[in-house]
Amino acid sequence: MMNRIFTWAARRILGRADHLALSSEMEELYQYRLARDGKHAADRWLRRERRRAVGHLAGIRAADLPDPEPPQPLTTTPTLRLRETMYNMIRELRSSLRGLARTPIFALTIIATLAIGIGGATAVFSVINAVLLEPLPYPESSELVRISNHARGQDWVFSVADYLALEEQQTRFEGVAAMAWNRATYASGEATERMLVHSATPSFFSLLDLRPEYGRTFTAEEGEPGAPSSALVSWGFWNREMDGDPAALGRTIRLDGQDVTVIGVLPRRAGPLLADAEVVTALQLAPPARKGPFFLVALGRLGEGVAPASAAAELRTINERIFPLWQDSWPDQETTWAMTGLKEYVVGDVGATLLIVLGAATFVLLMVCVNSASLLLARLMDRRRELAVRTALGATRGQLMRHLLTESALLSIVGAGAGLLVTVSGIRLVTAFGADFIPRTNEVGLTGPVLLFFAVAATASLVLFGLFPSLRGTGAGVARDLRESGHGAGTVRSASRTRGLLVAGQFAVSVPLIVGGGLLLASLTKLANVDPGFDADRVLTMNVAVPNDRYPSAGELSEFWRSLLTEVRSLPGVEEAGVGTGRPPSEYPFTNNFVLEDQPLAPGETQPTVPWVVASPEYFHALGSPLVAGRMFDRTLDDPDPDFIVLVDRAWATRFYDSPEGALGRRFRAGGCTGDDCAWFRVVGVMENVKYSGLNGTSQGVVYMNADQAPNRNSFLVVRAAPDQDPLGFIPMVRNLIRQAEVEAAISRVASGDDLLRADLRVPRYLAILVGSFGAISLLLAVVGIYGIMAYYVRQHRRDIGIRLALGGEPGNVIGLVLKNGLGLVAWGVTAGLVGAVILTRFMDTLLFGVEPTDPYVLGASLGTMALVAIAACWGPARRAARVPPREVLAEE
Amino acid sequence: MSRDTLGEFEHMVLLAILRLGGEAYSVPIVLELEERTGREVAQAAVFIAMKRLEKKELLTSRMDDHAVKETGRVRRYFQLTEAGREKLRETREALVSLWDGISTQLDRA
Repeated sequence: MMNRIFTWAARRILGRADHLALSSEMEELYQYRLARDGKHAADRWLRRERRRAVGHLAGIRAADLPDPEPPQPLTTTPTLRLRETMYNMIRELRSSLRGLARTPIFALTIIATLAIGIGGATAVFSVINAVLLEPLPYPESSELVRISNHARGQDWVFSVADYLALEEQQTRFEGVAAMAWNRATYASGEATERMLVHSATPSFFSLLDLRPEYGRTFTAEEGEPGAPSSALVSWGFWNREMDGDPAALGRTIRLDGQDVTVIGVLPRRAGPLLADAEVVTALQLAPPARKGPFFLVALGRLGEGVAPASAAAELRTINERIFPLWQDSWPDQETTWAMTGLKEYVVGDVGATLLIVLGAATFVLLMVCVNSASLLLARLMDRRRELAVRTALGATRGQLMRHLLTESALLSIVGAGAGLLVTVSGIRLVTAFGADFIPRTNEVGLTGPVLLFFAVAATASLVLFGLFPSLRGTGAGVARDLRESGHGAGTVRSASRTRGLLVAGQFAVSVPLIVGGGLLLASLTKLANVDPGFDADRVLTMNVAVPNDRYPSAGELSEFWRSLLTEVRSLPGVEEAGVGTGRPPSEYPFTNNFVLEDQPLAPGETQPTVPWVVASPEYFHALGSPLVAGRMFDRTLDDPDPDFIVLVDRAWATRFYDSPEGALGRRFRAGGCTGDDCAWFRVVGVMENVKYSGLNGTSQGVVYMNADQAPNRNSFLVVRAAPDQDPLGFIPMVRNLIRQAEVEAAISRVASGDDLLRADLRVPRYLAILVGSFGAISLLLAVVGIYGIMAYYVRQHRRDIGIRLALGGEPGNVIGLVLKNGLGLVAWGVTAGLVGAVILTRFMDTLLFGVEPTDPYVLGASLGTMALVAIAACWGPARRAARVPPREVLAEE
Repeated sequence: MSRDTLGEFEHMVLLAILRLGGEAYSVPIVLELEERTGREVAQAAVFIAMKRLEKKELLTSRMDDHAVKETGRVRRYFQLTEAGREKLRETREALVSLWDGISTQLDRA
């Protein structure tokens, strides 16, 4: 240290040549003394000599010295000046590097935290940018809207009746289009697979201005009912299944047992509406007999200069106009038509979540800066004598700033570089794993705005953590530090106060993160403990779809399923096998509306709607869902019955008849059918509740129809393995049986019961982990901060503490004093943070399950954890304070 | 002739140079001073004093290019100027006249 100051001072005061001469001559004398007095004495002399030299150098005035040697006859060309500047910069850089290399832990801590802070925030921003900020990848996308049915705060899709009326009567839109999201079975000759096959009206492509990569889009004729089927295939499908051959246009592929002509190839990036679609077929809409079913996503492009309000008004008018036409099958007068921006529809409610995560990431970045600033400030206080000497030797404030800023710039540049790596891996993670619950993830990347955000974040952190301590470290107080021997000098006191504020701020920032993470964790635990209504152990499920052209009659189809189930059941180690169109905890094929025979509705009243599942009798046994009341399906009794025989679940029974027994024998009509020739559905049994709308969903009741009576081409096979058997072990055997029974059957979405439960918890788990780790990081940073400041406090007050102890003060009291000091800071921060937490967590309401944002246990546990951690962090310095040896401290003076 | 008087340390440094033949660099000067006075002398102080004396034109200096080439060592040699020698003479006369007749008193006391 002294050596560095000496070098610096000598060069500055004496000039380069004399600095060299003096150093060299000192070295010469050192060698002489080494030979004469031995190493120990010579080393001591050298240290003394350097210290004295600094004093002498500081004591002289420039006026006392001859003018430095006439500078070499330099012609100061810009190149030379540049070289001079470069030389100075490199010298500063090297000196900073040396300084940092001496304190590697300090440097690495700052670099690592900066990388996490900057990289994390940028990665989150890259997602927000792609999902929320970037317009949809369609030209003039702000004019695009999604049109839906709307009632009681909920939006739902259009029916064919709705869409045809809209298409015919609207005047405010440049165009409208509809699409339906479906799965279909694709048979290639070698294999059969189930894939996403959407269908769209011919107007869909012109509305979005989506041009095919090859070929063409649908003509109006191809959208007419009865026209030959045609399709566009995705870029991926075309490359995989058709070898990327443009000549493949015009060929046919087999979808659901039908020949479909390929007329075009979608572009590689087809936009979020078709993101996962493999094939898009022409949607052919025939005039319907009744209002339902509802399955069409309707889109519109607002006409030139049309105010959204007037378009919305027209939508309501059309809906009122057609209401009387369909009143029989849809008597709900509350339902109206509404429109939302297409982007809001695509993004959905993920926006709020993303903003919360961005908030968390920004908080962490802020804390990282604060912490780095605090660390730098602490180091600065250790170096204040060096800085004071430099000031005394005539270094201007600007030069000191340059010196300190070089150091922080170096740290933040390396930190930001590492942050870029964190960003890239973050983006990889999101695009790999986030696609299931974040829309538009394939648009996430290191785009211009993201790099801009990165640059701003990096610069802002440099300013925050570099400039601030530099200003602090070079202020007027520095000169005083040289004269006073260090105790309680002005700079130290005010710098300590600043650090105290920073540390309190850190605790303030980490409270909302910890509380938020705690709430999400509590809600995850609640979710994981929800009874899914089925016994997930030993269960294997898979989707099996039979092509449309096989088993034309219901009898043949149910015979197919029955024989398949018999085969599967006969496998050794299989306990039971059944089929059903739903799969707990979050899949059901559709909902249906109905009117109870004994609870008729007044005109205009809304019919209740519940999930509708078609299942074989063994399905319930295979899932482990028991019968609560009444009886199971029984074809000998059911087939001759004029009514459709159904089962309901406990939730349905208690919703309408207060008890399971009360529901037995009740009848209803379904699907908006109200005429006298409509079929009755009769309840003969009540099953225990099974979750179909997610573990966090509340059951409104479920209706089960008998798969033997109303078989479905597309069902889930549910297999229960015998005890001690691994359900996943049956996959190859079951696959073989299905293939033998029907070679064209498509098998997909194979999962064990545990897989299903895990999948349903994935989003809440990701969120809890994400916010929780932000919270943990922030707490860690805050702890490092409080530890640092208390350790410094003890070092600063060593003398006072020593005196106190010498005068008979109890070590316990000293510990108490230090703890009080540290925890006082923490208390201020936490109080401020609590206010923030109460405000912020209110926005998390929709993400929570079974936990209130102000849950006292979570709040208590979060604060308790923080208090414990803070006490632990202050304990070390406090103990050290109590062990200060009074005699030594006093002798030091 | 300059109006300035020599400081004690400057005086000692100039005398040491003179003892060393009128031209010297800091190392032999320090050793000379230490040997003669029995006190440790700060090398930087000697160096700085000589720079100051150079400013007062009592010394001139040169870098020893030969030593740089031969040994890699950098030395600055200082040489007494005529003004320097004159200053020493002046100082000696002033001191001698002050001491005149009082040395016996000092020894007795």
